[in-house]
Amino acid sequence: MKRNWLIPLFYTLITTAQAQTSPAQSAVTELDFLDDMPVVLSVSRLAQRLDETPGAVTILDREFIRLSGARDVADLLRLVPGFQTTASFETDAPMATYHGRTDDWANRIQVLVDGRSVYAGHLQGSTGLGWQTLAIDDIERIEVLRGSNSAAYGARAFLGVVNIVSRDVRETVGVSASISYGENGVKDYGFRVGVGGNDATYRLSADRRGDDGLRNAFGKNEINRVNVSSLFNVTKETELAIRLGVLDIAAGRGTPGDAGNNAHVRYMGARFLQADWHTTLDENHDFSVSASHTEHKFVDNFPLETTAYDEIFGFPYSNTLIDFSGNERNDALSLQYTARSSSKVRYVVGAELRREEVTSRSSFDAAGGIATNFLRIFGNLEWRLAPNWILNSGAMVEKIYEGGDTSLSPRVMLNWQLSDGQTMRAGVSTATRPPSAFEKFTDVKYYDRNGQNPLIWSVNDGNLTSERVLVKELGYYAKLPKWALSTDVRVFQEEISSGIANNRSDPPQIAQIYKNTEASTIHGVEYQINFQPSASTRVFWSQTWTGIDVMMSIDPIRRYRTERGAAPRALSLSVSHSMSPGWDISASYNSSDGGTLMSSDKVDDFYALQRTDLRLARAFRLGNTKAELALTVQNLGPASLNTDRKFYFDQRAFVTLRIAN
Amino acid sequence: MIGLARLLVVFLFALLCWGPARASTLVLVYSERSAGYLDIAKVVTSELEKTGLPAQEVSEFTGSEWLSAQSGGVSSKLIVTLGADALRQVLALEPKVPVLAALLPRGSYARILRESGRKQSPGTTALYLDQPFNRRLDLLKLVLPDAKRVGVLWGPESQALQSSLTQAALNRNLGIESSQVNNPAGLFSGLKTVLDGTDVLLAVADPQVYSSATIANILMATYRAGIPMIAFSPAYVKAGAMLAIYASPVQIGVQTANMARQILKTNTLPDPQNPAEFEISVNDHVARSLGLNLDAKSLTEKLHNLARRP
Repeated sequence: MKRNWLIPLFYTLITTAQAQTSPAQSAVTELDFLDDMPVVLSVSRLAQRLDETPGAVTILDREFIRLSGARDVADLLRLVPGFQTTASFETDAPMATYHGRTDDWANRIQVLVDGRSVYAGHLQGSTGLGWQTLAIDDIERIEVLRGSNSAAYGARAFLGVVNIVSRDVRETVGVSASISYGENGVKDYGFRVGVGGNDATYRLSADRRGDDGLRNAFGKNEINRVNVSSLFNVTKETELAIRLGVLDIAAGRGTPGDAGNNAHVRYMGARFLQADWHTTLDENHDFSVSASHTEHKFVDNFPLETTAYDEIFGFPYSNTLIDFSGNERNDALSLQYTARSSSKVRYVVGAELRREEVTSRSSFDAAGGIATNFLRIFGNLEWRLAPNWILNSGAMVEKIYEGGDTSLSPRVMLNWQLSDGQTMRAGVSTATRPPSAFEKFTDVKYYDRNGQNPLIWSVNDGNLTSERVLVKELGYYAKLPKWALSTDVRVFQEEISSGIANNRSDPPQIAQIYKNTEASTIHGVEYQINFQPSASTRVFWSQTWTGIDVMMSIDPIRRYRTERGAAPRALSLSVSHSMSPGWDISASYNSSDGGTLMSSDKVDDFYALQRTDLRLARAFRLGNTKAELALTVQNLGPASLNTDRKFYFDQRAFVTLRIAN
Repeated sequence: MIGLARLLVVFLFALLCWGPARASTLVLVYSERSAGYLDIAKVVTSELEKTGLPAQEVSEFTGSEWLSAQSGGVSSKLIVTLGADALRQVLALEPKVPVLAALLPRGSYARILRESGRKQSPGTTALYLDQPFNRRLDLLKLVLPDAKRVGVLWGPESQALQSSLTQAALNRNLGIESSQVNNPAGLFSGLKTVLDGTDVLLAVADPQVYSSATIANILMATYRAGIPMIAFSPAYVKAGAMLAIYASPVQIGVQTANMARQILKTNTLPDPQNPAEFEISVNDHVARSLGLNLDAKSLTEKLHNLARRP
């Protein structure tokens, strides 16, 4: 019953869209030259230039993504300066994080997929599930905003923002399909169909991605996705985009024979419905409303196959279900008004209402679940003070109704164009990350087989508050067409206070509890260079130096994990070249010094990483159909460690065939 | 004294032109009585007046008024039409005097002549509304000196211009990536073909391709692909095209008057002409966002200088 409202809505939209189509005049006349046109590229449609953006940006476009051979987003981000990534599901899910905390559920960056925030409160605010929202072939580009930006992107933009933009439905009309097959059980299939005309356009994408995971692990995984995207030109000034998606992940975890964590399959799923309404009032003013509903489901449990606890505690805990399952419902409604009040001033103001509900008996015990309501009000101003000076400033106020936190996150950045193509930036910002439902309200107890005698695993004291960061940064951006290159340098200091940390001691004698017990400063330099000597050759190079000073921590191992959360030095290089007729060759390399993992249990336990990928592709035609056959080899050379010394990322080769009409 | 002399000239001119009842030297027929046409008609009349043809020697009609006026026996030495409909209605009555068709695109003129069965010469000539491809591509090269491939969406009407664009592009070492759009459903696949690997989209008027119903999709897709559009009217610049080159109403009016004067004076019809003058309009915000700083005034000067070069 609940979903039936969608059908009349679609019908109304389609008939509205059809009704406004007037019979087209077929012969060219003077009216084609003299008639008025509706404003299309109004103020909010226009992107800031990279030399005018208030921060460092890395853009991975569709071409870069295709040539990388990457099969998912997290894997691509290993090439972005300052990022740490894992490529498989063994630990939790493929993860990408900026400036530390690699293998824990990383939660200090905002990830938006077509403007919808995709973090999971049940997974401690992690974006691990959100990375998998779209099939890689449906992504137009990934914009990585390195640096805190809560004023513009909401509370989760604590250290950075990753904005994943799907392909415009107008560009994917037609049919395409792809298949990948190769070593390590790589079996990916994808299918996409796009239909529509001038008033309404639709796309349906369905894909499956799967492999056997890492060596020595029970990490066989399978992702199944369906995404529907539609766009309606409701009137000449109004556009409505409706998207919905279904994501199912079944991934192995645990270890065969480990009585406390036996091999089992974890399910993670997401369903979402999103509507974005955009009205152009005139070329200088527009208004948009977005609403989304997201549901997450996690099924992850296994019976405790040991009697060790029975003997310690004297109660029958063996065969008790160890359970991390839960359900989540997130609803968001946001309004945004954008205006250009003069040629020098552009601003945006808006508000967002958000409700997050997590239900999990196993995570919240008797409470059974938590609902949190947020109200966010934000404003940003872009002011051209002088022809070569731009001030970007903004602020967000966030009120959390449960727990009573109200915080202000202001931001200011000054861009100075010192010569044609060269810009210096300097700025200060603050951001606040409210604890996720799990961090704040966790209450995990394991009962014996008779439902008695709880063992307390996680508790909360209700006192956990938001963590805060103060970021000071300097930047330099240059675009030098003469040398066919562009570069961006970011020098940063990110002072985190009231940092949220799991206070369980090692070995665990007391229950885990999250407290604001950490203070640290992340500082360093990172830069990237894009070099494109010709239309057929692209080079992307990046290097980072990151230091983390810990001022406050509860014990040496936690201090160490934070200090080495990001490798002190890392670099990445990717090169691609297109040769006629239709050959593409590309290679990427990344390496980093030793960084450690949040699961490390001893000081000086760290892992250096190196990886080389190669891809060779040939484009050809099958009648009217475009096709591409590619061979990708990931991690050429010796196997590298991935997140844990037990697991190895073996060299793997796979072949991909893509066809599109 | 001067006033008296002018009066005398006017009197003699009027006497010279005196003919049968309700005769004028020039008849101006426009497609409809709306501001756009009336403004240009005003420019034409006042330009002619400046060179000695008094306003009362110019009669103005809409196309349908002209049909009924003809039955009343209105005659003239030259008919100037403003707009495609006006030309169609004038030609329907098989006029005995020369016709100068202004304010209509080249494709429109060719089609109406074809449909009316009237030969272009010697009875009819035109002042086209569209800017010549040579000039449009010169502008494109000024704005985007590194551009190599130009995307074009051809419709059923505009496709006749294909060879003249290809020639103009060839002369400037530009490649053309084109796609044929025969109906609205073909727009997206056409865009996909054209936006893939081109540096700029050159809009060529054709209502099956460019209209107020399609412009949102075209501009959004080209902008998202980071490709600027060079359009043919200022309305497109307001909509979001990066720039446009076009003839303004005043420029059209002045050139129409000049051509009319020439025809009346020499009694011969020149070949159809392109607009001699042009205006450039830039959407500064779109240009800036696409990484370009453009100035319409300096572009106009540069393009004028280029035209003056031998």
